[in-house]
Amino acid sequence: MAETPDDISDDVLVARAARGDAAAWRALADRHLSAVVSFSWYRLGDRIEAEDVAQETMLRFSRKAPNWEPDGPKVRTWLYRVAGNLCIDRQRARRPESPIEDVEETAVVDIQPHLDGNLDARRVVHKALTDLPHRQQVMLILVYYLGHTVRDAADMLDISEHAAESLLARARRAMRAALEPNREDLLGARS
Amino acid sequence: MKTDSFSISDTDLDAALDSLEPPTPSDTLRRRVGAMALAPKSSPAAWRYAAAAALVFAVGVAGLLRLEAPSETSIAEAPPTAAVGEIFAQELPLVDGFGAPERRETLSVAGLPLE
Repeated sequence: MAETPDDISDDVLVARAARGDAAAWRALADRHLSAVVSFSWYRLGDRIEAEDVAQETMLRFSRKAPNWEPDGPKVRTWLYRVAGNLCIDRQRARRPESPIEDVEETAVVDIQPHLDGNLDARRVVHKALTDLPHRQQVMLILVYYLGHTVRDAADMLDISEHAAESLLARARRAMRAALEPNREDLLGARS
Repeated sequence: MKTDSFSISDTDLDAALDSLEPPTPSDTLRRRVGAMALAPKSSPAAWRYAAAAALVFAVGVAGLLRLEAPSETSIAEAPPTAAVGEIFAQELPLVDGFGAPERRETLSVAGLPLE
């Protein structure tokens, strides 16, 4: 039976890509690029920036491939970490006066007082998301949007599962607090 | 103890979160990323072997050239053809006595002994 890329582990594909197997590299890109774009987009709220981050992340991955260690982090985890750091750089560039570490637990969401349809509703939700403290934001994105288990997300953030659950609960609470002033508009936009 | 008093339910929050739909990677991005495939190349170990082989080859070539060098040098350093009437200094005996090269009779331009 013929071997398909889906049957091959990431580590094997990376080894092949490092030897110049273009098909292996394309399989890796097909497998991970969309997730990296999504992750970056949720973090930044801007498609162009998200694609820039994804491109840079994949470029670094291609350079890393020859020295890839199969016993190290999973490919997806490595990609999220690199993309996450690039997102932080961009967020810091946007808000140089408020370093990421300083805004932990003190996110302030500046929500538009009046909403106008679904587009603005999405903007409000996205702004609330991007204004979350860094780790809460990542946890919510990984678990809620990208479908990872809390345990996987905990591994990615190098924290305990209990801490990850707590982080997720705080993220949801912060989102509710941020969206509360616009509840009627948000619900109205959905109907 | 701090209590939450939000009117947004979990269901409302999920609905709000679900309103965000991420973009799919553009064709341009896919092409760029696809072009990042590494060119086939040897492993670092193979590079070391290749470098060692090249070094051995270079040393061998240098040895061969050195062996061939004397003949080339003799050709290069061969005395030019004597012009008529010229007598080269190296043809003249330097000293007499033990170890001196065999004395050669020096002839004049006319072929007659000079002495």
